[in-house]
This record gives sequence, structure tokens and C-alpha cells, in this order.
Amino acid sequence: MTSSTAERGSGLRGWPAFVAVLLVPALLVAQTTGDGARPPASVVLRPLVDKVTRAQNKDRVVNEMELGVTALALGEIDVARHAFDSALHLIEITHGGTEQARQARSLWYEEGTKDFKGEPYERAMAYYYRGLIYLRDRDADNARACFNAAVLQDSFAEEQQNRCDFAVMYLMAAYATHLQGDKNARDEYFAEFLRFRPDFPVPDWDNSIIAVVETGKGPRKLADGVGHFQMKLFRGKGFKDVAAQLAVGQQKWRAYPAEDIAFQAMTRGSRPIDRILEGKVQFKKQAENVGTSLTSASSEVMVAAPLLGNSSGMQAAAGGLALIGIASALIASNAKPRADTRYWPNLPDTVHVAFLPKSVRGTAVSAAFLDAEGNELSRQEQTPPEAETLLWFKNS
Amino acid sequence: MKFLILFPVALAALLSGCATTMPSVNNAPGRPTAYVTADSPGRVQGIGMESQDIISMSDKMTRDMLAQPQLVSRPSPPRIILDSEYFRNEGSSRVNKNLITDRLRVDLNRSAQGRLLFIGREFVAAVETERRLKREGVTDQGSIRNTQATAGADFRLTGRIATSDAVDPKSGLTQRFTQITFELIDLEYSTIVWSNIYDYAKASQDDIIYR
Repeated sequence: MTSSTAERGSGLRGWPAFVAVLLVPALLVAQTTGDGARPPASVVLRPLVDKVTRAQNKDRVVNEMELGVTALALGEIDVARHAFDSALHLIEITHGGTEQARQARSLWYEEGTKDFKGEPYERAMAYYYRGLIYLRDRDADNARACFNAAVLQDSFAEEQQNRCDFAVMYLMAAYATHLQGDKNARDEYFAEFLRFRPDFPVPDWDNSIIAVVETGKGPRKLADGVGHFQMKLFRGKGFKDVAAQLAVGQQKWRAYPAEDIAFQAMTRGSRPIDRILEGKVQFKKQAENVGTSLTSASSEVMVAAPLLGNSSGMQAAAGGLALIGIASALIASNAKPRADTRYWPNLPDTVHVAFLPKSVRGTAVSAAFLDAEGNELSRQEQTPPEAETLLWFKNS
Repeated sequence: MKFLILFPVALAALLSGCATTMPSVNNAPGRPTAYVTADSPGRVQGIGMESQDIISMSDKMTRDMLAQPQLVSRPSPPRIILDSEYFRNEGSSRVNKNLITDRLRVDLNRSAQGRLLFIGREFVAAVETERRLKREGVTDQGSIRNTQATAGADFRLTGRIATSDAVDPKSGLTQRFTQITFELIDLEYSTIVWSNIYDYAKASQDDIIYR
């Protein structure tokens, strides 16, 4: 969906009014019933909503992405739905010839002045989360559309061998297609998934529901190189949870690591904007060199002027050279080649998937988050209601 | 002497370079809300389904269905279920399918002037509740009639939204072909009595800073 569907028409941009309806009553409830063990959803979400509404417009999408995942983890589905709809609306708009785009390309502004839309892995993940919410809403059609759109985002990878290899999106699309009742398309998506994860066990589609477990912390962007012109992606740090196990009573299922988000981020390849930033760096260097050379030459001329006779003319020339040198140095210092390092801070490192029998509906399903040695670090529990088609856990 | 001549020229060139590339501060005051036409492309665009597509599609299907004698020239008007239950989205664009089926049903209902009857199967629960209240004597019988049962349908709209996407990673050009199929299926004999297709392709290229 791009610019003009019903969801946008229904006031997607109206965060303040939306928040007033959803969170203010929640806050009132929280004040009277909060048990102190875990902060109520409204307390956790309020600063993130404030960030969306008060921060600059250019950061709106990244703030909505962060809010969306947090809200989803807290079970505030309406807030999450609204956040991702709004973020995707901005992602889907084609930006051509806007002022921010022009500024981001210009010498005098950093890349970070542009409206954030994220790198392809971030855009794909925005579709992924919206797809999960559609699955929760029993809207398999639009869930499938989201996973399809996520695959499309991955097509923007510069490295040929890594294009469209976002395997978990194929698996999720297969599941959504299964829920639609289209078995042929489901098998095609699943075959595509198996191309990347050949050892994934074939699910018993008709008798299973999908469980998605997210572990670790997502990739980080850092600026490197002269003037920080290179955006580099690194695996997230400061986490130990790398695996997950699901259980109902004594029955256990190891969740399969279906997607490595950091790998998706780091194999994107260079971006066209990198060449523009490199050009800015070259310009900055040249202007600095010219500035340094001219100011040194001017000093030399000043020293040599009395020895060469025409001292007043030579000194004037030296002054001129010094001025040009200073102007050149000033221009160099104003050129801003810094790369945009804003990133989605609460993405996972890995997405794990397991298919559980439909009989788990109505019973408590636990997800244990494990370290590399298989030691349990933490545990969450959910009881899927009857007819539920998705279980989603995030270690946060 | 050469330096004295070159100095002002070089300085002027440098300063003019700065002046022409320095962007002005964006002090645009925003834009008040304004009505825009729904049947032509708006200011905000992408490659998905937009209002003008839905309006043109509905218009084309309405005209085509009303031109079919096997539908509109029957001795008794055929009963049709036209909702989104069997209208499937298999594409890459998120779509509220009700936008399409609601518009088509309303356009047809208004234009057919009784030659087609539409059944609100989506609201069967409301109808059943009211019928039960009437028959239990909680309410009176209403002012029109009593029937043995609710209306059965002769035809049902089915359809599919499918897309084919192409991306050129070098240029950032994205193209999407969208095809929407509409079919009316005979609910006794399962034959397809009417079909039509609406399709379009859109391409767009995002700014280089987003590729």
C-alpha cells in the first residue's frame, strides 16, 4: 500500500489524538493497579511516544520503529499497529527532489539531515513486524503482502549474491499463504526458504501454529574514516541470548535460527550515497590542502619579500594568498561528509522459528532464552487463545 | 603584480561558490488541509494501489457487468453476494480489500436499479438475531413481510489481486505490475458467468540517498 489507502485516510499521522485515546486511560489504570514488578506499558511507552511527537520530523520513522517493537513486546497491539502503519507510510513514499534529499547530497549538510527511511534491512523488518501484526489480526492477505514487500526491500542490496536472501520472510510468507488456503503458493515460498535453510524441518502445516522468538540485540551503525564519511554496520553487542527453546510442560521444541539480522545488515554492500560522501571527503581534503599550501606560501613570500626588493607589492600578494588560503580552509571545515548512523535500536540479532502443534492453544507455552552453552538466561510465558495462529516472543 | 590581480578574482570565485551552494533555511509554513480529487494522482505517491486506481477499477467493472445480458436481463433479478471474503490479496501492496468490493457493490446497486439484487451475507448474524426476536415475539413482525428463510444467493464475486515486482538495484528503479481479477461464480453450478481484469503498472525511483 502506498499513499492512499483507507489506513492512511483514517488519520495515521494523528499521534497526539491517538495517544490520548489509548495511553491516557492506560496511564490512569497503571497508577492504581501497577504491581511494581514491571513498569506498566504506559510508563514504558510514554517517553517513546514523546520522542515520536517531539523529535524532528526527519527522525520520525526511526522513532516509530522503536516504539512499534516496544509496544508489540508489551502487548499494546493498537499502538504497535499505528506506529508501523505510520512508519511504512513514510517509507513507501517516493522521495524525489525534496529539500531534505537535496540537503543530504549537498556539501554543507550531513547525510543525517534526510528523513530517515532506514537501510533495506530496517525497512524489511518494518514490513516483517507489520506482517506479524496482520497475522495477529487474522488478516493473512495483508500479512503476505508485508512479507512480500520485505523481500522486495532486500532486493536493494548492492551485492548480487545477497539479494533477496532474507530467508525468514519467505517462511513467513509461506505461513501467511497457508492461512489463505493457497497451498501451491505456500509450497513455492517454502521451497524458496529451503534454498537458504535446507535443514529446516518441513512443518505439519495443517496441524501447527508458528512460534517466532527473537534473541539478542540488532546491528549497530558506526561512522568511520576521514570526517566519519563511511557508515559501517556491526553486530549488536552486550547480549548473551543466542538460542531459544519452547516448551509446554515436559514437551520441548528447539527454535530454529531462521534469520541473522546482523548478517542481513552487514552484507548489504556499499550504497550509492557512499560515493557522494566520498566525493565530499575528497573536496574537503583538497580544500584543506589548498588552504594549507596557500597559507604556507604566503608565509614564505612574507619572509622573502624584503630580500627581493619590491617588498610592499610582495607583501600585498602574500596577504592575498593568505586570505584565499584561509577562505579555502573555512570552506573545508564547513563541508560535512559525515554518514548517517541513525539506526533502529531494538531490532533483534536473530529470529528463531518453530512450528508447534495446534493443541498448545489454551495452554501455557514458555520460551526459554539460552546462551551459547545452552544455559537458560530468562523465560517468558504466553497462553495462546483458541484460533490463535502466531506466538511471538522477544527477549528484551 | 600578478598576485594583486589574481587575488580579488580568486576570492570572488570562492565566495560566489559559497553563496550559490548555501541553501536557504526552510521556513515553509506548512499547508492547510485542502480537498483533493480522489480520481487523479495525488501529491503523495508510491507504486501501490491508490484512490484513482480503485475508482477507475470500480467504474470499469460496473459498466462491464451492466452490459452483460445474462446478468441484467433475466426474468427475475439474480441475487449476488459481493464482499471481500473470497477476494484475495496475493500481491506486495497492503490493501484494504473492502475499499474495492464496497465501492463496486454500491456503484452496481445504484446503477442496476433493481436489475441485480445484492445480499448482505456479511451481516447475516444481525439478520438472524432480528428474525429470532420477531419469531419469539420479543418484537413485532415489522411492516414488510415474513419469509421462510433469508435469501440464498445465485452468484458470488471472487477475485484476486496479484503483483509482479521488478527492482533495478543500480538505479533504484522499482516497477510494480498489478492485476486485479474479478469473477462472478454461479453458486449452484460453479461456472464462472462473468470475468474481467483491471491492471496497471507503476514505476518510481527514490532519491539516491535512499538507495
